[in-house]
Amino acid sequence: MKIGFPYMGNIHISLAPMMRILGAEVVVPPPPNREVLELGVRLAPEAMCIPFKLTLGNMVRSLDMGADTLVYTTGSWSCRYGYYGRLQAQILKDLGFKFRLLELRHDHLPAIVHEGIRLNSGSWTRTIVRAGRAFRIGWHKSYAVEKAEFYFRQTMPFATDSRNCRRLLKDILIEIEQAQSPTELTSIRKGLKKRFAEVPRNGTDWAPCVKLVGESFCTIEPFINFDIIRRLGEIGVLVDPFLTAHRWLGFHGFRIGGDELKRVKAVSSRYWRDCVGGEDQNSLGHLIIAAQKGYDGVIHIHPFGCMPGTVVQPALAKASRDFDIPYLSLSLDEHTSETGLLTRIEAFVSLLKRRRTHRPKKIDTQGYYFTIA
Amino acid sequence: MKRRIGVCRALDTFRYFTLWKTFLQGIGYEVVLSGPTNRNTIETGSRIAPAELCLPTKVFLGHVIELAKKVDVLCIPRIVCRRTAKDLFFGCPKSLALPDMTRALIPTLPSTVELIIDERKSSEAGSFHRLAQDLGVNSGIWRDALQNARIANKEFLPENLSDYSFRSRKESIQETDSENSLLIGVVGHPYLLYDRELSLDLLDKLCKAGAKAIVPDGKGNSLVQKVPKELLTNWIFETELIEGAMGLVEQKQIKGLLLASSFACGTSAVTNEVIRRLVKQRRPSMPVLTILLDEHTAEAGLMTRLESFVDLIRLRTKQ
Repeated sequence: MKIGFPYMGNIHISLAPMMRILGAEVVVPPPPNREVLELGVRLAPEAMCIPFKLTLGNMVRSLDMGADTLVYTTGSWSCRYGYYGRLQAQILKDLGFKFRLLELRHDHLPAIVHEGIRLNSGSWTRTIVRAGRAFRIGWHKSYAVEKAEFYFRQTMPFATDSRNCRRLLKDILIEIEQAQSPTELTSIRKGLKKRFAEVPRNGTDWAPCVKLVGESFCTIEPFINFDIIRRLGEIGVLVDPFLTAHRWLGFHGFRIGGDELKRVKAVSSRYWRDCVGGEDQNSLGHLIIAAQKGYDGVIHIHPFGCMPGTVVQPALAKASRDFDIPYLSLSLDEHTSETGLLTRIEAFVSLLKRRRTHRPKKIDTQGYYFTIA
Repeated sequence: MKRRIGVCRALDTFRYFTLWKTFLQGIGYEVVLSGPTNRNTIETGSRIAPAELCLPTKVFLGHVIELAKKVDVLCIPRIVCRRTAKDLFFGCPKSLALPDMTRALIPTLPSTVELIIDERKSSEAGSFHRLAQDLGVNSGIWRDALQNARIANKEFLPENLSDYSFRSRKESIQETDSENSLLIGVVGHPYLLYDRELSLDLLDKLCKAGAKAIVPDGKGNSLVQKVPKELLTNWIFETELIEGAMGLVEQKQIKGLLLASSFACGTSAVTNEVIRRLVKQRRPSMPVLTILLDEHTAEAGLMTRLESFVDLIRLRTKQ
């Protein structure tokens, strides 16, 4: 069995070895690019949101490379995400591809377990042992990536040359990808702080802090959001995305942290009753929490036409007025121009900087409030 | 004097108006329905709403502004989840968050009550009980009111709310001389099709172009049995649309299919695709036209498209 799965940020670094240990062959498609996106746009319904189009293009590439099983997560809620797997499978079948679709959904759990056992020639014990090992490696890899990206975000705004920083992250990611054992990964993880501290610094002592909220795929996948985290770092902004690949991989309560999820619900209940999908409640709650913690601004990104992303905008605007924190909403699709987006971000950042000098606040910019699990 | 409660002539009102009206009157309120949509409603709604919102929701906001000064209380529905034969179906994200969004957008709102239909948590009766409590009615009259409302709702048709006079139901297929008139099935949300200003008179325009519009009644009683599993969506009204489209495709007298939806309607991106696939499988020769409406749609352009669609079908049937 050859497994293909959609690309999202650096998620493949931990997912691919997990599935390999479970006994499957894995096809990692080339990272998303213009051509993959155009392929997806051509095949998908016109008004669908951009994550659908990009992942569809990605799956076609995986199938071209010989995958025979597609693994996909699907929601079951009111958002269109609940329909992704089914519709994409129909489109791909119409194109003449032959494959099996393994939807990762809570109500499909028996089928998934069954598949795991089949991979291990019917042995329960071997499956459980392997699953344990896969989970351990997966967790270590994903945690190392998370840490590396965290130090990267913390160093970028203060580095003399951002290219040093990017090169370092690239090297570390390759090391993590090649590492085989948990001990190796732990030692990489432990050395991260020192390695990033060695990057030459430009001597500035503060940077505006921006919270990145929005739809999960847009927040995590750098191709869609034009690598917004790096771009913001380059113009001297400390970015803190509310969701990363590491957090996304866990189950919903686990991924944002049980307490944090509760807190998000509590603070946003004034404006929002139910989670509609597309991380709307999380975005709203994190905007309010960011305001309380003293962040300088919030950037909300969502795909164009995303229903939850659109309906939450008025509530975000209202909360940003009530809590006095600037907020910028960016809607992304295949026609979004990079230059236009950058201009808007730069204007927003210069607003934040001005605002800070006009009313100085006492906050520690060395990233004190950036805590991760 | 009775207190006045406002109901907007938009969105789900086109499905449940009689139910709501009879219930609210039963518990001692005077129901005020906003007037039919006009150009002004669309403009006020679009001005305050985020640009990416769908047109019917913008129109809803226009109606809210119109009602805001006239009533004591405003009733905003929140249709979260309905249960049909063990399966759960959800409303679209916009209807899930409608009260939240309205409150965030319009600061000068009178006091609002929400009718929350969420059958994961409580039955429909429970929802109405809560509505009655929120409106300050604590006695048991809500039970009778709800019973009467349910009886009254059986008679309700969405076109009662519009000023249309056409007949589009199934009986009319037999009545019409199918050799002379061309039948075209129209699939779209009732709040879009039966709103004259919003749909730019789509159904009448179709008649003027020389065809007869057949709209499925969308009561959706047999959802799960009829619609095959791979076509089911998670949304209740959209599943009804697919069910309606299935009925239309099977009737041989109906020569063409028109899918009407609004721009940025997220659900229609899925349903239109599903319906297209359905037509391709079951009746590949049936022409399908998709019409997307927004506040900039021009009447002349719409007329031209409809006329050419009708002409195309006529030419096909002659051959």
